[in-house]
Amino acid sequence: MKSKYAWIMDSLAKTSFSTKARAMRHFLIGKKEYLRRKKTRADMDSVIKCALCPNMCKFDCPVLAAEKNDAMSPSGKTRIAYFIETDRLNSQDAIELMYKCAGCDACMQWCPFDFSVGDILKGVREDIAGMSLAPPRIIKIKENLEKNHTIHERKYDKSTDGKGDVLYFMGCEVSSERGEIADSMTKIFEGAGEKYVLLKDEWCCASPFINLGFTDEFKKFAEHNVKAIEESGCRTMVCSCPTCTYVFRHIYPQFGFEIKARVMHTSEYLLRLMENKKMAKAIEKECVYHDPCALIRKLGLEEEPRKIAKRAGMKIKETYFNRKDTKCCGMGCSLGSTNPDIASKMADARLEELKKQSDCIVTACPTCNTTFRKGGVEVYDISEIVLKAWEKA
Amino acid sequence: MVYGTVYPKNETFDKRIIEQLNSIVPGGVSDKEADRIVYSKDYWPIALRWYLDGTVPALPDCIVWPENAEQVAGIIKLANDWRTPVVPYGEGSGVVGGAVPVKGGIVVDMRKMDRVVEIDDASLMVTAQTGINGMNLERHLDREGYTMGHIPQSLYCSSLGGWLACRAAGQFSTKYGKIEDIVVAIEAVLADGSFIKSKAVPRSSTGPSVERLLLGSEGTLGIITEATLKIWPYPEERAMVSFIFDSISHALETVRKIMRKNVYPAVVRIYDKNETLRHFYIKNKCMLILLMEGDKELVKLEKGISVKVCKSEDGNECGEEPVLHWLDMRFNVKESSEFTPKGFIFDTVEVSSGWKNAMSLYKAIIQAMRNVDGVVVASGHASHFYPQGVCFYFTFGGLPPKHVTPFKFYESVWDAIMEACLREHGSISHHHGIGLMRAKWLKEEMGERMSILKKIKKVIDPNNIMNPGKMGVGNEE
Ligand SMILES: Cc1cc2nc3c(=O)[nH]c(=O)nc-3n(C[C@H](O)[C@H](O)[C@H](O)COP(=O)(O)OP(=O)(O)OC[C@H]3O[C@@H](n4cnc5c(N)ncnc54)[C@H](O)[C@@H]3O)c2cc1C
Ligand code: SF4
Ligand code: SF4
Repeated sequence: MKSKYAWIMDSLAKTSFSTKARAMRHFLIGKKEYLRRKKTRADMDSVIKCALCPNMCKFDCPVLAAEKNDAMSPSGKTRIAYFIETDRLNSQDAIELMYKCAGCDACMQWCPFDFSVGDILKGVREDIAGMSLAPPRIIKIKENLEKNHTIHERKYDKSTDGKGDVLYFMGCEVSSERGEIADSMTKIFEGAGEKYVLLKDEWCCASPFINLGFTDEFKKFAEHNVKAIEESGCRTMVCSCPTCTYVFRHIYPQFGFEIKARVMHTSEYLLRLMENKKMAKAIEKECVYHDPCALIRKLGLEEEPRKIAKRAGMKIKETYFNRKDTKCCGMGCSLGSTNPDIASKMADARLEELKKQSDCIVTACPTCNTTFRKGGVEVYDISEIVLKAWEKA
Repeated sequence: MVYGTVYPKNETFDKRIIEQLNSIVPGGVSDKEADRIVYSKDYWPIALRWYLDGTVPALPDCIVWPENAEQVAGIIKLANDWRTPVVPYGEGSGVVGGAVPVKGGIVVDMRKMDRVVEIDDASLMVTAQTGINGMNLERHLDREGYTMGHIPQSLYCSSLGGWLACRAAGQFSTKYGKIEDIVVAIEAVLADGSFIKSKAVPRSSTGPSVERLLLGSEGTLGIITEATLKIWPYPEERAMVSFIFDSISHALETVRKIMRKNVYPAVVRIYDKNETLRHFYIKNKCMLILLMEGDKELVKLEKGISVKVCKSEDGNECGEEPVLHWLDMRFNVKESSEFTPKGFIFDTVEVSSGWKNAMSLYKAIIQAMRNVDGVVVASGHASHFYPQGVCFYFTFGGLPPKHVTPFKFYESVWDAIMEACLREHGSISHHHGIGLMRAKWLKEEMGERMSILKKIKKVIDPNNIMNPGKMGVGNEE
């Protein structure tokens, strides 16, 4: 009797034949009435279930915490999504709401259905783009990325010739703002005697296209990147950015783009690389570790960065909201580009929490890194920690 | 806009109100369509069905987010000037339509007033603004080493203000008490814009406590802005035990005897046969789960006494497992999402009874639900206990018969439950409150007290601006 519906079946057995027949019919076809007749990219079954939920994850949604408007709560957004998808609503404010999400998966931690509203909304945005309802500023973000091949401006100008075993995919944030992370990684590769490659023409992993609902553009970029990765001859591909890692590892295959090399985040790669290497204490003061949401919730990399810091002789402090309970820095799911005001409130909230522990932050995501720097704190990437500890040893 | 509304739109709203609200709460006002749709409902289950059909219950004219009590007072004064409705909104998890703006007007979302003002360790009290989300308050206490002991199933999606306004009860209430036992002091802005605040002392004999009128007032008298509540050091020990019984009456009798010994386990729950099957996959039995927490020695003692009584009443011990399962699943709310799209209509109704009538009330209500054509599921559990009696929590689910609208079907089951409850000397609500759904039954429940409630309403809110249409206390019905 360990069936989910045994209690209903048991009750149903006691009802009249006509009630039984009606119940069975409803069970089998009832839901179809509410699904959109047209084919949607959004998973309407999830949209509906979430829209009908009492919003059991809302307390942890950082966008709601920043804006305090129920419309921006997880279920608030899917309720509006349902109306948009069923052609009942297309007002500008309703459409705008669909972009007010950091894709941080905090909702998923509490969801009885394991939904990530961040993921649900990606399909909704694709439908919005398909209905030509995407706001002009969203289209501008897409066009800029198409033109520049990177989110910001590429400032890091080092690259390598020829092929190698390890490809370092630096990602948009490192190439524009966090060159020191790329420098640390290349020095580590050199120290370890790895034959590494830095692409001359690295394009964005294309996650913003997926975030904003532009799959054709995503595919174009994916094609370019897969080709470039293959031509590099690498067997391992290392990314500093957790989102790049996730996209290459899990999203590319969903669209039929297989990367033959082993895709690793720096925290995984460095932990393995440094296994038998001697390291001294990287930094004297106690630092606090910030779990980037994509690293912890999408990739499940909880211990790797902590183990690295430990190996580098550091005692890491923890915030109350750590590991899977972390709080997004605000830049997830292109929120920094689409809704910078919300993103900056989220960054302030997280920084306040981190600063209670230390004004020296260690993290493993270049975007979180840049975001926190604006708060007048010291921030280190785990690769910088490793390099320091190794150089000192 | 191609969606409908169930309650008529407010045609008289003057746009100048929005301008004036903006000068009271700069930047904290919205009349955007998407916002108005989201604030058109709470978690009244029938509204979910309407929503799927493309109908929102009732559109507010605007939403405002005050940041302090002065702004709340400003909003209420303005609403009085314009004679426009004000609907306080906590987290919208109320299940009886309390926060639905049936007459339009201004929804006052309290969420920006979510600060924990102070923890007083010596006096074991916390003071917080009422817009704070329940889980965020509990997390705040948890990190400081305390608990409030108020853990409703809606902890994640309800607010302190909503708890006070609805007289909520948590799952651990048999030990820690309901919200009115936990609250020590209240600060509120009344319907005329006046401000009241009581003292954070454990008790006073200074006449009737005026501020306590706000407990259970569901936004019809004013807006609660701050409260001081009891807290406890985080429990050092937890003990769990469960027993199965052949019948619900047997299980109830057992708990009655435990309560008579002045033992208060934090969680006590008895499931009838259908719900035992639903939650624990055991057929033809009734499950009793007990969870004791607090000081180690006390917990040991409470567990010992409870187990002894259960055994002497022929309960079959099932160990910790069912309690752990309950702990694991207690926030797993899926039914509405799963069944509403299939056309099923589900709801839960909680009532209370003295021990003397408990069994006859349980039987009468189950029978009353079953008698309504279309009802498939009719079950219940008991979840809050007192030496004097018990709270029953009933669930019904079914399909409207041919030619009966979903709402009519829904209303018929509710009517049947309310009638049976009153007939069997129960109280029509233990903790969800009155809102829209129970409004027509309150008069019968209250008797002469209802006319006093109406008089109080009239004195405090002569213009009937506070949450009109709810509880049957205004003059519009
Ligand atoms: C899944 C689920 C489980 C639930 N479990 C429980 C449970 O275990 N125990 C329980 O007691 N209830 C439970 N409820 C019901 C509900 O959560 C409670 O009634 C809760 O108290 C409502 O709080 P809220 O903040 O969501 O209020 P809302 O729904 O926003 O408002 C409820 C009423 O209170 C008024 N109000 C809100 N804030 C204020 C304020 N600051 N001042 C004055 N009036 C105000 C509103 O106008 C409205 O009339 C549950 C609901 C759901 C959906
Ligand atoms: S994500 Fe899950 S828990 Fe959150 S509102 Fe949606 S269904 Fe509910
Ligand atoms: S993914 Fe993050 S920001 Fe988006 S709804 Fe979920 S919790 Fe909120």
